[in-house]
Amino acid sequence: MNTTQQLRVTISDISIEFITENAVLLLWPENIDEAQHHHILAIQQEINSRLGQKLIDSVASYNSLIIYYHFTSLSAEHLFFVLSEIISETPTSSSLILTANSNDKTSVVEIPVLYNEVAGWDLATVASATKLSCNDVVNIHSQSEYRAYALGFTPGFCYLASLDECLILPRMQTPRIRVPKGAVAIAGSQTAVYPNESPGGWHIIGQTPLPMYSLSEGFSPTISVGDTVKFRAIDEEEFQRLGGQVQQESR
Amino acid sequence: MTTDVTRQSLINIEHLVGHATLQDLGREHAQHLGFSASGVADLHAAAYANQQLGNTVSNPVIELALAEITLTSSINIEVCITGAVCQVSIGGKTKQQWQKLSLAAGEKLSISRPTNGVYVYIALAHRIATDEFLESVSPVPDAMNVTANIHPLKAGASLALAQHVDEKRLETGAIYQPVPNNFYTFDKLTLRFIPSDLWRRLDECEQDLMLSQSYGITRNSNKMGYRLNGVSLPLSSNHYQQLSRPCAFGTIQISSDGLPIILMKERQTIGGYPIIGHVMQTDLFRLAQLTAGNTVTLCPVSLSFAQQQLHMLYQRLNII
Repeated sequence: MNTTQQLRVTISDISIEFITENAVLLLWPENIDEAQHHHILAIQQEINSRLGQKLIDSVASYNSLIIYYHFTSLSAEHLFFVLSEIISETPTSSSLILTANSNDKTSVVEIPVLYNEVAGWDLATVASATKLSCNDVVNIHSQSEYRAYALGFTPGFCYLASLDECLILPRMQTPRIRVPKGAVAIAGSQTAVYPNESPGGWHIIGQTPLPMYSLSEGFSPTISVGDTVKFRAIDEEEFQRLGGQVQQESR
Repeated sequence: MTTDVTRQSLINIEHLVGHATLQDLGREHAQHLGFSASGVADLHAAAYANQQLGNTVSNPVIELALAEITLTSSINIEVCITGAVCQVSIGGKTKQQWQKLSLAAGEKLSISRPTNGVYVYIALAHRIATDEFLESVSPVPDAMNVTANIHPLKAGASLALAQHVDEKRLETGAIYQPVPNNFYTFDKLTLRFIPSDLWRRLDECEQDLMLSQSYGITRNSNKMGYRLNGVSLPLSSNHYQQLSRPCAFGTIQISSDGLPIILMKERQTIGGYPIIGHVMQTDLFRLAQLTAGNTVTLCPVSLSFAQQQLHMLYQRLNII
């Protein structure tokens, strides 16, 4: 096959598209699905191990994986051959998730959250839009477990899913210019913590004192892709004891 | 590779108006952590400057963005100024860009704000002794607190010079290239792009609409992305409901208003807008030098053509 002429090829439901001079995008069906995500990470691990120095980086997301490679030392044709081999040799999604569960290797990250109407700038709005009480919103958000599907947007920002259906709301129509560091927020079927002050269009329902990364050895994110994340409701006293300082919305 | 730092040798920034940073090739290998690739906006100009001095391509350079600067050196040093069109003078005498220049200790090097283009590069024949984060000196956009010691340059600041013991530099020596007069186009640049699967699914009228018009570069353009203005191409709403996926250098997103945004060096690593293709990288270095008011057109090319062009540029600039 000549990948330079035929840019997109599908193998076992996974499309392989050479999108730039040095990047190839692998796309799985358009679903947020834990088993599928296990498959993406297994393939990413195998690619990282086989390409070695010819690889620049690889970034996984919900249903996609991008491979940045040194095109001057690895041709698109050869890379396509390697990817085809890896895809055909990597176990299917369902057997992967069984193996992952039985080995119980997934890290569980617990995030303490102060949920109230001072820390949760949009808690009341979310409650009203979802026709729930503020307590219900907090209980539903903190009772679920979430999977870390992707790191992106800003260093340490991890996309977590899936939110209970009764909390699903579109993003804010006009994003805020300033979302505080540690804001716990929801949008669509996703939830996340803002690692730093930044602009943002997600609904803020609480704040955490837990930093989202450590700089002691280069850069270590608190949540890694593939981790399981749980939110734990805490009171203001514990929030302060953990070093938190509630950021109020300036109007 | 760089050892024996002598803190006595300094570059002093006497005057600076505008944005100036130290930049190198960025952090392409740290995108999986959510870091923007960042790095020099115009690799062609930055690599050319380093090449003239015999530096490796990863040697940090000073990147001026629509800025004017005056600096002095405490030692005799060779420099090379490339990129956007500007006035360069040393000791009050006009000098040429794209050439190796000698700056004597105490002499003033002055560079005006560009008259055409955006980014001017200053390469020095010594390595600048500065902090790195994840193997790069480039600032991290939108997360400056992550790299507290890496920040934009300021008037009155001094840059310490390491003694140049870059082994590769001594092996390679300076490689002189003819001045690349024809590389940049400031009047209606054609952006050649590798079409995506979505582009191939657009009908002929939709493709024609995009290929037949000139897009204006808007004021909302920066090193993160270039927003284009023109006749919009409304895409069906299901294209906007796709899951967020990784974004590469040159990604052409179609925003909800139906207009293209081209993602540049300081892009986010993940995005959710539909993508019609990727501008080939040699054209992205040209695009980086354009600003509000300039116009561009789009033209699809093959992957192999784009790779061939970039490969030639890499060979010419000794990047590979």
